[in-house]
Amino acid sequence: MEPVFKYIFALIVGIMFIIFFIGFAYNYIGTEENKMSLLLTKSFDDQLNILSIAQDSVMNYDFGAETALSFNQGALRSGSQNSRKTDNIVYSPVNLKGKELIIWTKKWDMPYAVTNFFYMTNKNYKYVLIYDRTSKDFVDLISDPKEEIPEVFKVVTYDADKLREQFNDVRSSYSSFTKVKFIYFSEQPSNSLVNSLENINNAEVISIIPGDDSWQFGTIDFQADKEAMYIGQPMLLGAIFVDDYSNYLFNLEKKALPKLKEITEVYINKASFMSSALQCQEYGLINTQLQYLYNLNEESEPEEFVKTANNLENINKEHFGSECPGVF
Amino acid sequence: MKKKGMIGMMETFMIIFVIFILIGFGMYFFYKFSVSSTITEAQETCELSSYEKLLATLDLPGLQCSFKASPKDCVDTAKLRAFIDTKAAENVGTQACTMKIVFKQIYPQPGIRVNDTECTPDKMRSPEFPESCGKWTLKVPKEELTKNKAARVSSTPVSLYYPHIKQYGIGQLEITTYTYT
Repeated sequence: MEPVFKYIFALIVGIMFIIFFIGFAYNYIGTEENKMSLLLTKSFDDQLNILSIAQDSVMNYDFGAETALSFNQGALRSGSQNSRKTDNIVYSPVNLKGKELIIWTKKWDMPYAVTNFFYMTNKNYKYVLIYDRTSKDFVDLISDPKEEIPEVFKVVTYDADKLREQFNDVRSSYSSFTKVKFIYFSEQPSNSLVNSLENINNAEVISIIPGDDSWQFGTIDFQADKEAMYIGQPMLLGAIFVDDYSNYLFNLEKKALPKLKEITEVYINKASFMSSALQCQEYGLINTQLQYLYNLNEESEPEEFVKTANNLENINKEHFGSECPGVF
Repeated sequence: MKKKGMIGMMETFMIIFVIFILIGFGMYFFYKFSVSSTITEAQETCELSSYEKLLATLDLPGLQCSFKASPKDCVDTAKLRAFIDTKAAENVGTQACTMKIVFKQIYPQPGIRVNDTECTPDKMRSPEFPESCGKWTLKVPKEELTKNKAARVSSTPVSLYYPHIKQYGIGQLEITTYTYT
């Protein structure tokens, strides 16, 4: 009986040791993974902070290994670990997986610098810009790498009528991508074309409807009765690269507009200070417009933002000189 | 026979007990080492981010000089003062570590008695300005966040612009990071 008892005892103790060591190893691996993902998201966010100083800069960010990143409503996450809140305004697909990432940054002026927008994607996503006679010139302009979207994004442009004719070819040639985003620029987008494009499995379709000929403001139609405004060309470009309506709206309402308010408040305070220090009436004039811009919100019309920004630019240019320095 | 068995069992328990103690010691030292290496990493990250912050702070749209809406390489002190007085100033800094951010005036040299005086709107409007005050504090951490922590200062020279008197000065942006010793 005694040796049998010893063996059973040794077996139980042995199992306990094995369970203890395996549990410890799993915990340690989990902690290290957590730490690594936190370091990865932090160093990536720092990289964005450094890039936010640059103007219209484009770069290929090489992780050195297959990496999964997600950007969802202001949170940056790697793998399944805790997310990190980022102050940067990022327009990108929610899930980006790969070794490399393309990052482009562009300044948003209203008319003074407010913040930098970041546009990100990788080679698994394709962007197709569709134009008609009302939007050809504008699409030519923004798709020209010397003017706007850098070549590395490899956006393609299609005439709406030609796209209808070549629909099946287009569908098959882009089937290998994770997602193909069709961006239809038009004063009156054709519903039939939008519906056909929406039937493609990996496709998403948005329409961009300008508010005027300059395309400086307007509406983004995300389909399914989801619409949002855009203010300025950098925000319109954001609609091209953003994953969905909720992320676009989050960037607009929770990030871009509050940032505009913050910076406008700085100029309001500066104009008041300058007014009290120099006794120039012009500061009162510009302060009225600044106050107006400050009070605009997500319920306001995009036209009001752009018009007020233009007014501010004119006042700052024309009414200030050597005696009374401009506010911005 | 029974007594011999009891002694054998006692021996086994003693051996297991000693093994557990040894494992416990190992775990304790491993844990201590792991915690200290994590703290070192956090400190390094914090120091690195202070250098990044130096660069980024100088180019904050709310601080940078601009003429006819185009940015210039200097810090507009009227905007700096205005920025400090907004809620946005509270959000400057990093999530990773505690920081103090101060712009100090170097030239024109403030008077000895006022070099530690904050440049408030009143001080900036006074006829003695820029000699009437010596610094603009952009961010100051709560006292409890700096207790028992080592302070490390990094700084860079900056060009300061005083738009209301249309003059330039030389200053220093100083970022103090607080880390565990």
